[in-house]
Amino acid sequence: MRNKSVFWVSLTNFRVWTHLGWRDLRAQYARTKLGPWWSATSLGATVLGSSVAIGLVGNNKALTLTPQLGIGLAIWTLVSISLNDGSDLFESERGVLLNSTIDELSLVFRLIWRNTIIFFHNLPVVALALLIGGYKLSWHIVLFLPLALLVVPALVFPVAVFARLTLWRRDLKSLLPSLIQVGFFLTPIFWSPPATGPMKIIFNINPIGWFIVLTKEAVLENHFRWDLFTRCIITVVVSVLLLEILQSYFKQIRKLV
Amino acid sequence: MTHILLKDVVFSRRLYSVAGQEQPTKIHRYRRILDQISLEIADGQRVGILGPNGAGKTTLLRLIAGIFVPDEGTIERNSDVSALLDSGYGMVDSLTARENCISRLIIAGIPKSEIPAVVDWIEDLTEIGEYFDQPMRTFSSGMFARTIFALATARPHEVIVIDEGFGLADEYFRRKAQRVLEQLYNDASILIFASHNAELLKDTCQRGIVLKDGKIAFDGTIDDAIKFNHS
Repeated sequence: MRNKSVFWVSLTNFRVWTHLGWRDLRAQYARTKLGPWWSATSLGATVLGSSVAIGLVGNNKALTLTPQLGIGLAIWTLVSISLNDGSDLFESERGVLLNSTIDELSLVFRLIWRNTIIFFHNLPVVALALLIGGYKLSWHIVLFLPLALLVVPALVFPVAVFARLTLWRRDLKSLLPSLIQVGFFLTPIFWSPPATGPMKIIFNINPIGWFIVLTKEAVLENHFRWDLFTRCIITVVVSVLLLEILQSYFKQIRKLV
Repeated sequence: MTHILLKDVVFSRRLYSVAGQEQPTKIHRYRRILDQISLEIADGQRVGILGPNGAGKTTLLRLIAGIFVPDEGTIERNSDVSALLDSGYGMVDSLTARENCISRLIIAGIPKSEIPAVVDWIEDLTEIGEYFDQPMRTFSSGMFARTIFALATARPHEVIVIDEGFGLADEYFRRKAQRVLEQLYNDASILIFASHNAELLKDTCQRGIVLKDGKIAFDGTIDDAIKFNHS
């Protein structure tokens, strides 16, 4: 086990984490009528509300921003919910960790899989946002899903690190939502990265922004940014490599829960 | 032949700072829960683990089961080990008993094709009727205990490590469950049982190991181990 790639071992344990991901959603929405569609409803309200508010403040047409916001918020929601859920992951799974031999990263995969299912439920909202915003249909629309989902493997490392860090210092859990909130404003969801200035620097050091801008520009402006695509691929590779390098750090998890 | 071999196993846990109390120094921040444990358990043995609270009994079971990884030393096992420790783990009360059982069996790595038969067996043993397909939040504590007992004992295991906290529910079910447990013990090649209950250990085990302060203080027959533990 020690010589095998931890990423690969957890990935091949897909029967467990895909099942648990679905089960989480069934449990979470067990007593609701809409189930995961609640998330889509909430995203739709945020996209529409933000678009109208920003339009009115900026004296623009109220709904012109909906395509940008639809794509940006769908990806951002996947990232932020995964990071937020990660802060409580190992502590909430204490029983499973102390009574079974399930590998720790499978729990991370399960969390991301669960949020990816929610992301799929958000797709009609993205389609609706494009429609409302007057999106002219082109073949570039087919790039949306593969580019947006590129962020999924990149999430494994940060979610695992957040989950591990909050075991080490439990008070970080209280800080995390605020950090994610700040991250929201520093990520080009309702703004586009400028050519110069401090926001360009912030964009250049914010990998989540790369995934969002790559998807937005490819779908909305028919412009495929190879430079951003390369950065995103490197981010995914580095995430997986860091998991392998830091595997002994993650092996301590059962001792800390 | 099934066997388990521990060589010089060391396992430490971190001590945490508690507000208002003296803080552990850097040197004393880690406490050795198990210290240089060497042990061989051969096929057919039923071993009772005794010792005061905090002696390291449950930690030893978790190491043998492969749940914990030792800091130092090695553990050899040539068979999968089934741990019956806190058998209620991973149960979600908004899901039905059937759904929870399926999840636990998937976590345990049971092939998909075998799961329906195992779940049927669990349903029969629990005797809770239509409640088996109701959310577990509607269960009484007895129904909950029956379900987790049936789930834990549903399949034969080559090696079983079992903790004393493993409950047997109400009196009627206790007799039925006892027969299931006896069958399970008989089918296992190795049984390792941690408990404070001397009578239960005498009935189940032949060999006894006493742990004290993370070390093996005694290893011999179960009767002698019980005497040693009380001395």
